[in-house]
Amino acid sequence: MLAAALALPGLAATLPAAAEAPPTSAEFALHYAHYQDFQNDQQRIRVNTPSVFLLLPIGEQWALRTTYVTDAISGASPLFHDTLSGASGKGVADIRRALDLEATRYFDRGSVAFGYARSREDDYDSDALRVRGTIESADHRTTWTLGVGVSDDTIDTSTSNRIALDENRDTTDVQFGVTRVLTPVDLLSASVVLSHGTGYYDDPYKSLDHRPDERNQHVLLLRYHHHFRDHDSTLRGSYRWFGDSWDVDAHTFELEFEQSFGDGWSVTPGLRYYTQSAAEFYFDPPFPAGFRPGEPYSADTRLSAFGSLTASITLSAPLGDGWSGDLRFAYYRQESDWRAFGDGSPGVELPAARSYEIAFRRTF
Amino acid sequence: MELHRIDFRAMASPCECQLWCEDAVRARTALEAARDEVLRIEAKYSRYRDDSVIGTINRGAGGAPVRVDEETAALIEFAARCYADSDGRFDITSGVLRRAWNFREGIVPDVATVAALLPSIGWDRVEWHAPELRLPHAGMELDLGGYGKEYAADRAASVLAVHGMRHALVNLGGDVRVLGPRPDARPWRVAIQHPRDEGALLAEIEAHDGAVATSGDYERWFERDGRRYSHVLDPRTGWPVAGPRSVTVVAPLCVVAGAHATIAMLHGDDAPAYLERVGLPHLLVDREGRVSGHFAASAR
Repeated sequence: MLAAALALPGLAATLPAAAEAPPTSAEFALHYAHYQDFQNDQQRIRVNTPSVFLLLPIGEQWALRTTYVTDAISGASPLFHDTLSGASGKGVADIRRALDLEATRYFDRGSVAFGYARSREDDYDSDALRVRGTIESADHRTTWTLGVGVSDDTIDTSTSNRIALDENRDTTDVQFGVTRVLTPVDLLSASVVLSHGTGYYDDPYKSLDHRPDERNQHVLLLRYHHHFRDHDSTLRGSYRWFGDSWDVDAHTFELEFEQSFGDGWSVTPGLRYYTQSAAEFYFDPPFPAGFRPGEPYSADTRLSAFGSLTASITLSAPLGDGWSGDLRFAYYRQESDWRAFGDGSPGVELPAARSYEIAFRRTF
Repeated sequence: MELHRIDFRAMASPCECQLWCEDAVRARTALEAARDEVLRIEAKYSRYRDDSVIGTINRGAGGAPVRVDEETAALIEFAARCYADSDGRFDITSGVLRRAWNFREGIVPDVATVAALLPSIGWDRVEWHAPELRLPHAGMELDLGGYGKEYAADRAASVLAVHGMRHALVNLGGDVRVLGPRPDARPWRVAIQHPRDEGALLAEIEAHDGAVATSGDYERWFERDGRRYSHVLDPRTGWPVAGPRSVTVVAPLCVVAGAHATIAMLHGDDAPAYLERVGLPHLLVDREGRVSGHFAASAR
């Protein structure tokens, strides 16, 4: 009956947005992602990522969310990183196991979430704790978010090249965000994340890679959603600005358009443009004349100036018996010439990638 | 901030809008626009005016289909939904029962008079292919009075919202719509009329947002030979339903609160079960005067 009432002209706009409510049903999801990148028509890194997600409401005011992921990475690391060492072709094979636990307590006008994340690889361990609080305005149209997090990472390649031996990195971050429901069909949100990290940042698998032992980062994220009620579709736009103390400046523009066809069917095409400037200590290979031992230096093209485009399409479908499924295909391409500012690495061939993801979900 | 208000009469009821605003001129403009919106709806849907949409539809009964505008179509769709959800108890064709029941005179009609009207009642007989509607035979009538006041309260709130008002209340003859809490974040306090003791209050409901609507057997009624005949008429029989003295429902929109309160009354003694199924906060006084529902604790 409420749906019919909301169809009456002008009434929907006066309703307060729904408050963030504790989940009332449990959810179980299986997700599988396959990523394959290639360079010079050669297949390089393959990543297969199965994951399991479980959401459990506990009592009326608590909810527990758990994600368990394993990544199996295989293939060569990017060819040009090894121009000096000549150790090219050594395959990378690694398995990552990661667990994320989050307990959320809901209140009338807000929530507090406590999270713990743990990740284990042969050469990289990470443990992180976070607390995030949200509070809503009396009209439920504005939500403020404040969060803090700490992480403790250990890099140890003693079982392979013995370059990093029990190296450590500590990171602290704070985030502040505000989300405002402008009208029942327009949502605007802004958030800022500041992070400060100290410790070991080098890539132990790259020759002569040496980076500063401090990295301060800032991220500004703006998001806008608009729902077209007449067409049952939603446009999602976002802009992200990233900057750090290594002189990397990055901008991401993303647009997604979700079209529903009723009964749980929908198609979502998306396009993302990303551009970054190079880190101040990045040098294009080959080995530059200006190199001084002990000074920061990296030839990791992930720190070069480049631009990239990602095109994706997602199909969501009801599968019956409480199940639903998503299928997503994405194509990614990175080019030096697509950068919006800074010097690129014109001589370097950058990777392209294909990925597909499949997910099954059920609520109880 | 100061409290501003406007009082007026519409839809045969005393009406008021109240709002908190720093700017007296803006407040006045908003209040007058809200009142004008209520008067617009009254004129458009009055069954007493031949030039109203309802007048046009009713005059065309038995004739060609009448094409209705978007707002009317949405109102008719809402009524169709209520008809389906209430197993035919909420019916916008039931107004013809007025010809048999005169609550001012207080005369019990004879069984044959009521029965003769029943063929003219039934939403399922109406030919509704939006946006065209046809009442299949002369004598049938459409009456949106059952929820027009509630709709007008919601629309008045929309008008206030468009004028930037965030702390407002609309009360059209007891159908209350709240638009945001008071500026100090405290809720508006809505008093509920006692169904038997006129002038006494039954309870008080606090509302930050949303709507409160009450339906009772005490608006129009008469007593004959020790029996109480109320205006709560079941369109399927044409006779009053004996049941709760009053039902109050709290919902996000006034049309929704009002429709549920009306349908609950039409369920008679099964009203508590119906309200339980609906799941919205409510307050019920049964035929013996016993109070139940979410706000029963605050009832006096």
